[in-house]
Amino acid sequence: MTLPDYSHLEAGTKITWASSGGDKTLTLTSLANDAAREGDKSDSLIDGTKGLPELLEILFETAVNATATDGKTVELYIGESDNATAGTDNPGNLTGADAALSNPDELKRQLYYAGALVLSNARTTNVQKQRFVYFPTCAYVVPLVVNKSGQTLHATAGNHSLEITPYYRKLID
Amino acid sequence: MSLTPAQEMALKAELGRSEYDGLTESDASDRLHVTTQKAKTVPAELSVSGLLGVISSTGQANLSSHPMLGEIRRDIDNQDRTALGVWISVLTAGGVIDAADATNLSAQLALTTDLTEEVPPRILEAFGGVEGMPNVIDSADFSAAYQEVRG
Repeated sequence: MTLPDYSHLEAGTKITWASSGGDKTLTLTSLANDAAREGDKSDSLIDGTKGLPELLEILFETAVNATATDGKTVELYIGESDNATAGTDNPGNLTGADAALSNPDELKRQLYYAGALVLSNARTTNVQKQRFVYFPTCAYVVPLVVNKSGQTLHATAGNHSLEITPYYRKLID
Repeated sequence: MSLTPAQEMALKAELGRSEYDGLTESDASDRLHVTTQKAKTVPAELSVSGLLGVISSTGQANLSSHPMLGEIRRDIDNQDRTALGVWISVLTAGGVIDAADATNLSAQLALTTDLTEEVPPRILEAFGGVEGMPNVIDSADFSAAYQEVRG
């Protein structure tokens, strides 16, 4: 048997969260400043052949209703779960379904911080995007968005989305 | 957009809270969605200079050499009005300050300041875990729930 010479990361199926039309629901329209919204729990990230993904590439897009102060953020956290049922074995009092989260400034500390979309005031109320890399440890993830932009998020549903692409390690001869 | 029965129930439960008592529909909607201002009266900040400034020069001279000055200073820094009230009695009884100084100092302890406090909108906490609840309640949905609960 020959040992593999090298390996690479292979993209799996992307999961999209949106207020409608995505694979999963996450309603960010008109989210108030300081408010938080969780999305549906993902399906299992574990591939029957490749196992747990080595990393998740996250693309987060959002917009504010009125120009934010430069450098203000919209935070993204991940609640990990090892159970497929929406409301089971979640940290941070997450329900695993699209809903507001009360006391987010306390409960977000029980989740993993994935990153923050740092807003530019030059982009006014246009869509702003940022990518993050995240290393999962469980099969299921629940995204939580905490609005710290100082503004209400944009009222147009199409301005908000969250895409997570799992990447699996592949060995090559 | 119509609410589901569970969402409607959550909205009605929210509007049943005592903090909506006496609010018009419009004010109740603001309470739910908007940061509001509330007047608040708090004790005024005490300072060494402010307190020394209301007592006589004799009282000031006596105090400057008082062995417990450090303790008094600490109670001023801690804004400990109860302890300072006791100090006024003790210092008056000991002849360090006179009755007029004591009256002036007691008046300083009673001073208040009016502040405006920001009250965050209830929407930040009201509907945690209610699946699919919109981040802003549609005015027609709000009105229907308000009329049922408060109308």
